[in-house]
Amino acid sequence: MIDLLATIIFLPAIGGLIILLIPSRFEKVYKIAGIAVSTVVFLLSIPIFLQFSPHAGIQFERNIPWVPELGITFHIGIDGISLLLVLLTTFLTPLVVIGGINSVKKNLREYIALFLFMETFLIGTFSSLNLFLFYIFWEGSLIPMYLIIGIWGGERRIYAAIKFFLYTFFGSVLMLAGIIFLYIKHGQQFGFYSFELYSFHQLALTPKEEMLTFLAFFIAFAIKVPIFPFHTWLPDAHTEAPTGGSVVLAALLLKMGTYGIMRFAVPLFPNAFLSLVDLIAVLSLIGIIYGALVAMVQPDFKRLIAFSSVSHMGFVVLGICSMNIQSLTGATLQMINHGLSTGALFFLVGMIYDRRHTRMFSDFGGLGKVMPLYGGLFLTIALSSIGLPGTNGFIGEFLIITGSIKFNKVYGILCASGVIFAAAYMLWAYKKVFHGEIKIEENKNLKDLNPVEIFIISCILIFVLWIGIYPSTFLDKIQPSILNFIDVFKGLKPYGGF
Amino acid sequence: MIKLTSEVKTIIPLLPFIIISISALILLLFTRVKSLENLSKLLALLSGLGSFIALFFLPKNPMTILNYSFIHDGLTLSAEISVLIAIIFTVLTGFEYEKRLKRKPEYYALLLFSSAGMLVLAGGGSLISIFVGLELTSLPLYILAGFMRDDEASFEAGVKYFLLGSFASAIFLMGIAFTFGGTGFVLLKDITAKISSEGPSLIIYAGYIFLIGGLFFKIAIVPFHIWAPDVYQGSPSPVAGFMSVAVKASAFPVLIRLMNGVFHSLSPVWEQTIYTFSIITVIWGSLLGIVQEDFKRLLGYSSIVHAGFILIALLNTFDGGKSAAFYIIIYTMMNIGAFGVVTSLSTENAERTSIESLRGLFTRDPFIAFMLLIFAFSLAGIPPTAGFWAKFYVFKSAIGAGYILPVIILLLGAVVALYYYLKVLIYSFFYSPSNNEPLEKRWVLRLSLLLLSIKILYFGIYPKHLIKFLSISPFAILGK
Repeated sequence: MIDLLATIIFLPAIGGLIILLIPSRFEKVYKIAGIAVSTVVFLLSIPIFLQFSPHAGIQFERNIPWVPELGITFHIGIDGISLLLVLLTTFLTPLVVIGGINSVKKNLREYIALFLFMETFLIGTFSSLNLFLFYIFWEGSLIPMYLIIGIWGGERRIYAAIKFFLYTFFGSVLMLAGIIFLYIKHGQQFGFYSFELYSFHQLALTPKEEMLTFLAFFIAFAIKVPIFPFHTWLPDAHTEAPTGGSVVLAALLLKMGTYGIMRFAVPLFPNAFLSLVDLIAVLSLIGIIYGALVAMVQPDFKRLIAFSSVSHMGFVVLGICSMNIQSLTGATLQMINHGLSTGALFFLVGMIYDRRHTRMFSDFGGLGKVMPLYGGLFLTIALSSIGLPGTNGFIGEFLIITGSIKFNKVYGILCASGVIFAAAYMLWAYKKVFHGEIKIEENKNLKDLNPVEIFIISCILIFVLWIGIYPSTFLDKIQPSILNFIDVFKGLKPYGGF
Repeated sequence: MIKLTSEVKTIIPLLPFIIISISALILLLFTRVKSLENLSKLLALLSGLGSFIALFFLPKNPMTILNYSFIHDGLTLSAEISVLIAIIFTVLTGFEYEKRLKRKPEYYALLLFSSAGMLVLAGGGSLISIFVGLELTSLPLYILAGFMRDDEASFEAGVKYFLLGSFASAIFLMGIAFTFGGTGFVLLKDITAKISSEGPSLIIYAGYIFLIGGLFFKIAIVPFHIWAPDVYQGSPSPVAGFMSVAVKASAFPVLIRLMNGVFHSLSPVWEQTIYTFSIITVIWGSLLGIVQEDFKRLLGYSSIVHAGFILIALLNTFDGGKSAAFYIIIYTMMNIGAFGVVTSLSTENAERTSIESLRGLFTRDPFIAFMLLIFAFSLAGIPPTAGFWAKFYVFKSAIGAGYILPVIILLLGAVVALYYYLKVLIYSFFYSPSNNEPLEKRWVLRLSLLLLSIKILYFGIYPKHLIKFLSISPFAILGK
């Protein structure tokens, strides 16, 4: 009996190492190896989904001593919250690899290998139950993304790469101080040292300690999400990254932040969270509306999607802040939805960029005539990002809005207005690119999507519609874990004075 | 079977020192015989390996020998490991580089003499043996820094290091005089007993200031660091790598013995000294590193920052020494590796040390570029490299001793320092090369870089053996 979860964590990295060792002249070999490894990982993750039983709490648990002298164990396991994120990772990586083979010309071997390393770090982050292990995966994910943006990115790639790295590293070191502090506290209170998440739950912290540690964790996660005003690294990184990089950044890296809030920041420090919940909710509302408004005026296609991410991630954070079953289920689902829709949008922009080497709206117009299939697929994905009923976005946003109205009516109304703005910027973008006459000569001979590109988008489209039409497949797996999560808040009162 | 007499038995802990110094003396004979010149690097390598192996046969228990003037314990042992790793890999990374050197036997003899001094310094249990070790360490290094006599930068480095270094030695000697004057003893254990029983006096404070000042100079703590960037930049690259790690490795045990042992009863003076200087060092080193255009200078500032990180561990008298020792062993491997990358850039007749010369390294030589990637991320302390564990360890010690604010300031310093490691990687990975001239294929150098990077990744993923070694080795501090 093989350990599925551990296998899908390490298989990509091992595959990546092997691919790096293949001499660069055997182009076919490493292309096939890249697709094979990532697909096998995806196939292995399907049984995880099927075997996952919603009510059993943490599953696929594995606890191997790693450095027992320091209380560091290789402790992994997933519950309903992490299950879908792990699946999203294994699902998108093969598509990114295929997309890369289709469009990347320079250093393709390293490109594939880095995305495979990335996959290891991401799945590891989503399934660690030991904070030290979590931190290693969390930090490790910076290295491949830094190289991906820096080597294959656009014109301002170096600025974007360094900003991305420094910004997130800044947040992480605060979290590291917080983790070590909890570790020392654990040693003092229980007489032995441990990094286990469940041991940390039993710590008794004074209000001041809890608040400061919460902030150390929360700022790290807020930068990653990003929550307004920590979002400034995101538009640069998303815009300058190559297509695959943008997809992974938007679809998966940002989720590390919201996942971290749900898994660590809130359950470990519920009182501190409750004291600050209004502040965080307001910040996420600002993010929702500000992101949408700024997205409206972007002349650059990718920047528009980048700011739309700020707005959409605001929904997720607001969902967490509302702390009821609807909003939290919505938030968990919306993480997946945003990954699918925004991932697909970045793929689509990448496809037109490969053809025209520009992303400016002013260079397009009337593409609907020459690329009808592209236009149709784009519209479908855009509508799912807006949240049209029948697509995945609707389910997630509907749940979040319902939950936030229950929490606070004003928040609910403001948050719902974000959906309208989303419709505005997305449809305008669609109009600018696909409607009207073709003004620029080069656009007249554009080829429509090739089979590989159609394959990538339709894979995502299947899940967009699946979640939109029959979300129970996924919601059933999430909900029991959400109920456990809400238990944390029972009988808690926020601290006064904060 | 040879039956060792008890006198011989007592000097067994000095075995690595004996092997290294005998080899150094033999190397001096080689200078007379032209045909043996090329054997000198092999002899140097063998003596390094030999005394490294000898470490495994040293007594497991802490002990003091030669009338308390040499302390053999975990602290000494870990410093010896660092120094010997440093000498082995300095010889290996310079294996092909030495074509540029004239007077090869002298070069290796001086390296070995300096290492011998370090082995004495690391275990020094009396002010006299510490001073002898310090001088034996420094004098050969002055010559080595200026070893490329025709090169103006190297010449300058040698003179600068010599003038400032002997000034620092004088200060240290002054500290010895004051401490001796105040207590009447030279053995660390006697001094400790005297200070803790009779309390500090003005003269002891003076001794403390001068002793610590002299050591801070050797390990390049701000503001005693001014020599470091210039000397690293000018010295031959392998020598610079050796200096940047081995001197720290051997001087830190002394600092730990003084801070956490001898002057422990001066609390809170020594704690204040540590965190003030550690914070100043990390902030200053990381800020100045940003503007550097020369890779070796940049590594100079980086090694200043690392000294600051190691220093903060000393706040914890309980396990600070272990954390510092752990950090130093890891730091030895990654910094020698980084200097090895600099060595690999140099050509037959010129040093290439500007950051500009790294441009497009990824295209010109992917192997060296990946090595640099691992060393740079390890120096920056990013997992899954060993550098992360090193930082984790020292921060754990400091937070464990209740110093949270200094740790947060240091962590922010690490963010600033990260910027210049990233800058190095930007030049080597993200810029396209200005000339497509490939690097010289130096196989021994490449192999040694590969070994170091494998070690760094191995300890980064599975540090258990290193941690275990440190947790079983008793840190006797004063050899009680």
